[in-house]
Amino acid sequence: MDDEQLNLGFTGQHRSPLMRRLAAMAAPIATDAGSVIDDEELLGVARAVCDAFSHDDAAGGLTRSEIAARINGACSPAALETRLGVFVRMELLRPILDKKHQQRYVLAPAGLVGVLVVDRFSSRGGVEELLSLLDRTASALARHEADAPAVSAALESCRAMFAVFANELSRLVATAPLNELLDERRFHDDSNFMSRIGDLQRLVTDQFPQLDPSAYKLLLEAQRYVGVVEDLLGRVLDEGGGARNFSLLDPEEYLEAARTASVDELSAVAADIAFDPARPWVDAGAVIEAVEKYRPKRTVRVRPPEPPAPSDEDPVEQLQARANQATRRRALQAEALLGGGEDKELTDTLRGSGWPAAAHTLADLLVLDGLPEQPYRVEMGDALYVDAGSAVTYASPARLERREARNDPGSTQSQRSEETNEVVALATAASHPDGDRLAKR
Amino acid sequence: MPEPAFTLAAMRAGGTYAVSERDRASAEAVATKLGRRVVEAASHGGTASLALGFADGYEPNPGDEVVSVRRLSPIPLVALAACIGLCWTELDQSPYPGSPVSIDRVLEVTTELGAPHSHLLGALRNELSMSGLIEMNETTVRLGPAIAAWTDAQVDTLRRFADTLPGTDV
Repeated sequence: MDDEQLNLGFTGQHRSPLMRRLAAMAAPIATDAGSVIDDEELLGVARAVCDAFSHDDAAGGLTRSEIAARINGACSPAALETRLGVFVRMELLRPILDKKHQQRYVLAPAGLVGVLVVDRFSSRGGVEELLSLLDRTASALARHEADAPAVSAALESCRAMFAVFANELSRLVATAPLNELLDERRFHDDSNFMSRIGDLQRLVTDQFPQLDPSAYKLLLEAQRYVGVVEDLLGRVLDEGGGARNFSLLDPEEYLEAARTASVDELSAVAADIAFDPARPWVDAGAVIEAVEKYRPKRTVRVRPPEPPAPSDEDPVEQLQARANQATRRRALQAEALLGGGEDKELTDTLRGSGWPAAAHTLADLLVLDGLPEQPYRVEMGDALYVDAGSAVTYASPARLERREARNDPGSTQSQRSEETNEVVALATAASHPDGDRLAKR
Repeated sequence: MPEPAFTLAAMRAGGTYAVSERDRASAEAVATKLGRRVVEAASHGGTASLALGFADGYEPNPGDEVVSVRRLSPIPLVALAACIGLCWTELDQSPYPGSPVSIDRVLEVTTELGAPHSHLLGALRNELSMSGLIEMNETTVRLGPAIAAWTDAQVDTLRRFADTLPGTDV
């Protein structure tokens, strides 16, 4: 007895999955069950015949021998003759004139469109038509060109297609083997269904509120379809994981697994894979050497340096003393610049003193200018001396003058002023030819 | 019957691999052609657990610039030296399998050298156990099949300096 399952003649098992889908697609216009070819290879003959007519030199039609020459051995002459007979009878190829005994044929454009439809159906499995219908309806609504009956019919058509797809996928998830699921999976990988349907539902609600129940039914059916697609993916991943078929996951799914899966789940992938661990090299010489040279590390803790003992002096007084010392140094510098005079043009002095000495000098003098008890004033001009070659590239005119110090009797300011006067006297004495005499005064 | 190549790969990957006498002969024949040596780590009835080592004179020379190998740091090496010193009591025999010794005894001997206790325990549990140099249970340590795979020249070297190993002076 034959072990193979009996072919009952109506299961279509003798056809490839693609040809089974195409036969189902052509059923509405077939006269009998044998109207559709069984051999997928013969689709290539139809494509080759259509290609033969795809140039302008076919405008005058082609004879059968010219067609055979142009398809360049895509099939045997006998098979080609059979196919051409079918094409002529079904008017894919038409005589160039509608008279008897015509030897030249032209291609019916509808036949070429049919080939394109078959190709798209092969690659997208009909889901493309559903998307196209959704988009056409949404586009017509957006342009305000749709009427209520047409929109209602389109919504019902979409709902029906979703229902049929969901029913078929449910059946496959429950019964189909892995390879069939993999074939089906690639037809249902569009993730924009729900957003498209959401947009369509908003348009319908805005323009035809009476059709809102139909749009809602469409949404429910689409949600059922998406749920079944997820079931399909879940079964594919479960089966594929069991078979260690890594090609079932795309990179994004690997990334998600790496981020969310537990260590046990990830390590299950390599449960049956043998690894050869890189073992360290150890020999007798290394062991003996390690024993002879091993000295335990002894860390000697070094005491940090003691901070300097705190001073007994008042820190505020120290701060004041440092400030007075800085002011005294600046006053001496100012007196040195004045050279005993009442004013002094500093522009050339500053420009000649280089950088950053010029900036330091000017900053010190401006500090003195800001102290009311100090008898110095700095006057800056608006002009700008630019000398790209020198150390001080930009300089403004500066003039140092002696002014009346504003003393506040009885205050520390007064004391500071007295100190400053003393500094002035010392500095003047140091820079004046009759320094001793002036100092005594 | 496993292929000799599979048997050798299993020995490399697992440290030891149990084979029948007939498979052992075919694996030894292939190993000899490759400059390797099949060593019996244990024997149970008609099967033997085999480890893979280098034939005398065919070991790689890690000291030259051609071969780069991963080496153990001083603490695991000192722990291994103590294990060998304590387990290898019959110096005229091969060091493997030697006598089991308690983990506490190994730690006591090595700690006397000044090595940190926690580092020693980590070395015993990780580097030395995972590389097959020792085998541990909860209380005892014994030498592992990687020691059995050492060549006779290595064992002779070790024998000459056996009195310097920790634990041998007791």
